[in-house]
Amino acid sequence: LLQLPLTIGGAVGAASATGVPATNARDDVFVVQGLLNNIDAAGGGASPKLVFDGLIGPLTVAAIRRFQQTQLGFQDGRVDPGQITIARLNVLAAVRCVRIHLKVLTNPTIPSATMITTMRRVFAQAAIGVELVSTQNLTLPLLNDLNVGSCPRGTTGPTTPDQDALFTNQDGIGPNEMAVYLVRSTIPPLNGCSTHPPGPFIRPGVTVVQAASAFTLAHEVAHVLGLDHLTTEAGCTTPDFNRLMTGCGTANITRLAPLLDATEIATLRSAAFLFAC
Amino acid sequence: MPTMDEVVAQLSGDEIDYQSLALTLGPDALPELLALAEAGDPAIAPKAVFLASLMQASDDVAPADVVRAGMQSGEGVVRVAAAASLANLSGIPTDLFGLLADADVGVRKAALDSVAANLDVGARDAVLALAAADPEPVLRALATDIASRLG
Repeated sequence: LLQLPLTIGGAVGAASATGVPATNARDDVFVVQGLLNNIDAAGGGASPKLVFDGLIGPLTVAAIRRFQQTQLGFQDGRVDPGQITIARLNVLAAVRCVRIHLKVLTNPTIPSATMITTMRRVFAQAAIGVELVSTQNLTLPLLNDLNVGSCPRGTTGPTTPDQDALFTNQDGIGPNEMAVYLVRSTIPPLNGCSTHPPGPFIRPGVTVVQAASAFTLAHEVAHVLGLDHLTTEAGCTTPDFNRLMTGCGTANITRLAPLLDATEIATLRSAAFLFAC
Repeated sequence: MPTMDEVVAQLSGDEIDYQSLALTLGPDALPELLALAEAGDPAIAPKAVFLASLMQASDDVAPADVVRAGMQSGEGVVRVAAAASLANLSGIPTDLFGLLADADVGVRKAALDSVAANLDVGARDAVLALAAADPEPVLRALATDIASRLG
């Protein structure tokens, strides 16, 4: 199989010529929809953009056929793992990656593996892959309830002495890679904090607490990559729980993959901390 | 007076601007915050405790009442929030300095940091006890420094 940044585990789209149906696993469909939506129409990308819902339907199959016809000179409406269509989709969508190193002081209630899976699903709509590079357990009881101060979102400060001390634990983290510190709690109590000490020797990163939601990790990393909260929620009187960047609590999100708008996707894809994968 | 649903909605954010939220909700929210602190949900109770500590007292509930409820929680994260909240209280009831003797090192550290911030002399005996016998050397050193400043 080809080594691709955004892969699928089973076939997506139409049945094969011999009648074998595609498995259309929802996470695989998310990947294909995300890739098709990040390719311009002239290059065979989805036009209009597909609804990013992970559900196969005639519009997604038609978009696959259109892409294949434009780029590959054939169309069977099906994307198979490790084959030419998924490879070409990765190239045309210019897939980039965020590389994550987990530093675990306290395991979160929602397993970190679930948080990573969720983040992959969400970031697929921006054609961004998520690589979990390493996991390291840290025994630092005095930093397990981390004082994060005012925690200005997605910035390099001001940081607290606690943050400065925690972020010195950078084993194995390379340039453009990101640290995720899983702690018991923060002071003041937050679900996560995206403030990190400045580089270049300290890598960017986030802090996520034990009681965080499945989406907190993706939300905090998105802050580091340049996204802020929605400006349309009017002090949470009109929250939008379909969106990753809700400022009213990602625990209230009910979609399998909360949405990013076109501006947010463009901001993410231009972020400095993405890895050329 | 904000409803419980409104208070919970405001506390559901991943990141909260506590100073702003304390002004928005005001002391009328203290009964709801007390109920949330007593319920002890580790995702909400720490936020309720900390928010309450930034408010003025209402007719029925004082911020220290909410912090006390947090102090009595079986959840370490709630007691950490209570300990951190001491820094925001003026005129700390002496029973709350029991947080300095908590079995959880994170709670003791947060309580010490709070005492260092407001230097309440009522904490002196508890701080001296930590300076003499805390099993964590960093906390012993911090307590010794704070004790010297408390006089």
